[in-house]
Amino acid sequence: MAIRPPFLDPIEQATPGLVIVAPIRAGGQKSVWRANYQGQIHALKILVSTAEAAERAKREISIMTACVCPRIVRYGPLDLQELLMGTEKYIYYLEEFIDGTPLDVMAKPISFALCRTLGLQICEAVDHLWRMKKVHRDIKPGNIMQRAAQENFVLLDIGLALDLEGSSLTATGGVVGTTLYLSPDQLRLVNSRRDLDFRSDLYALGTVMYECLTGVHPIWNDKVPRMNIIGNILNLRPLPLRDFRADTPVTLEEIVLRLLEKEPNLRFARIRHLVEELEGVNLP
Amino acid sequence: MKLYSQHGWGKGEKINRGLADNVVKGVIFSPHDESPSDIKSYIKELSRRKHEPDLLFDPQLYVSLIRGANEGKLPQYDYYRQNLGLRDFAALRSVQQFVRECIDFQRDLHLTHILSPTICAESFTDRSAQVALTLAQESVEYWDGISSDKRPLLISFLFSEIALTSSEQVSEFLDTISLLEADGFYLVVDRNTPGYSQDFQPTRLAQMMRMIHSLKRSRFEVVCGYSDFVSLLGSAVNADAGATGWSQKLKRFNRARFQPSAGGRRPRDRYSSSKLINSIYLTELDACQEVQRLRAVKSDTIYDKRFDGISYPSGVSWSSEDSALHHWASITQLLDSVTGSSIRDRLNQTSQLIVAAQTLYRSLSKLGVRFEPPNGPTHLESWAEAIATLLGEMRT
Repeated sequence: MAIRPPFLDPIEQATPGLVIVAPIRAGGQKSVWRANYQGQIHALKILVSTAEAAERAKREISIMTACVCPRIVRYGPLDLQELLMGTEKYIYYLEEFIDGTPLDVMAKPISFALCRTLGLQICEAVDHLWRMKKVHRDIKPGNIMQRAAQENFVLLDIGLALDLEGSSLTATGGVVGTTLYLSPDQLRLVNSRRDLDFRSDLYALGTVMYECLTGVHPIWNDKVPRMNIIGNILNLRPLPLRDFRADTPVTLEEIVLRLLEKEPNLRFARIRHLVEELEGVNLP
Repeated sequence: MKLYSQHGWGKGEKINRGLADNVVKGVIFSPHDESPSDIKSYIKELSRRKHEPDLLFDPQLYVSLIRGANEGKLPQYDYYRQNLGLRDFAALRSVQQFVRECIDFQRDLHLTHILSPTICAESFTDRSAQVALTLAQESVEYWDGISSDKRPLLISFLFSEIALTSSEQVSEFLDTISLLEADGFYLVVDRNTPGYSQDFQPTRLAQMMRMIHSLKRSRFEVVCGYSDFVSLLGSAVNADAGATGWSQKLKRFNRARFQPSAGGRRPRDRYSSSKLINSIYLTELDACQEVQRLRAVKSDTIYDKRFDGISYPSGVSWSSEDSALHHWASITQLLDSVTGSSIRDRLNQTSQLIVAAQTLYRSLSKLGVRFEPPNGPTHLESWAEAIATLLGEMRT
């Protein structure tokens, strides 16, 4: 049996009605737990409090509260809490518990139909965020969950989102996100006067879809030079999906490759266009 | 791809006949050259035509920023302001007023499209480009607020051809404008050099084609003003319409069009050959006849019959109206010959037309036919290079 971290008991004691059940994801600075709060199951996020972590948590909560979209994880019924343990301060809050599997641990490749559903549903999330002038900036398999026994995907972890209408955490002056899923725009627009827009999230969605359809990363796999990941993001054109999965429908391949265009203007200018094209794909 | 008539001074019956003969499918009106009352009644008259031509009105606000410009009839238009400078666009309220007045004027006309006002941008990054983008954004917002009018709004951009030199700046500009919630774009390139020729520096032309291609992929309507024979390259990348007029100033945009004219002699009579993809002098057509190659050079439009059985083409009666109609018909014929459904097919078809024209020029040269430089084949090499550049960019 795994050792129960020492901060869990004080958190339970400080929060009446909270029972921490089991780990979902453990990490040094951040962990996620399955927890029962007032008779309902939720995901409990616990972070070692630094100025940046606190800011990120507040941002995530504020966006989750504003979002009313079935494709974006919902905020739970507990406000952001703080707990001091010795010299270490912890912050924690509740999110919707999603009973399912994160995309990064799902077996790949997945079916064409499921990948299309994934594309359509994450489009819905990206669209919802963009209507609030927000860019997720960290769409990757680890931040997408499929609900158990359902063709139903949910986008998680909005703490890195760029808010074009408010002050943004690391909006300028640094690259934010997970390197393998960064868009060329995220790299190019560092310290630029221009802002990112939803097409950066579409690029990341393209990376996720490529990976789900072929089982390999579009710009970091055995068939491409692997000297410089940033160089590949900026310059390497992904191989056709049919090089890895010969029966990929041409229209689906075209959509995914278009999402992976290096220039935002060559991706989809309207999310509804992408939705129409995905809906129009004829599957075998 | 459709061809529009680029309206200007001295229209006579050219537009009426061009529409009746189906060699142009619409008109882009120039308020510089016609009074408000005349233009209103003419637009109304054209809107009643059976085939419902596309009717667009360029507000030409940019003329106000050209120093020493001959503003023609523009000061008679209520929306037009004389002697504007960039400073006049510093306050958002002023920009909104220019937009409102330019668009409201068009709303009352029987137009099929609404064009936003713009100013000439020297590059895609300087202050003038910022003003042009603000005018575009405000036009989108104003038009969005008028939900009762369903006509498409085309955002106008007029930019110096030098702006097309930097691929990176073109990309950034495209990234920005492709987010505008407009129906399409009216694009005009301010050509560096006055005078009439089909030449276009290949890297700049490739960037222009890339711009059209990107906007079309994003499902925008794209109309290229003053594009003349270069419309063929717009057609290769799926532009919706090109435009050209009857005088040299209406065939190729240059700010000199709005400079006071010192007069000058009447231009020499021209013949537009769809086979050479160029406009040549009638005397040069005589030279082709002398070597028995008239048939190879002729466009075979409905206006070509008068050259049948003639010893010297320059001897036929060839009015400016005949010349304009024939010019439109020749370009329309070229545009109609690009039919591919994919961009690659269309670019290949266009390349084949260019190669055929180059071959024809070479054979004429071997027979001793000489053309004045602007009427010769040099532009074809530039065009072919632009297509090769674009294809190369699409591959990498």
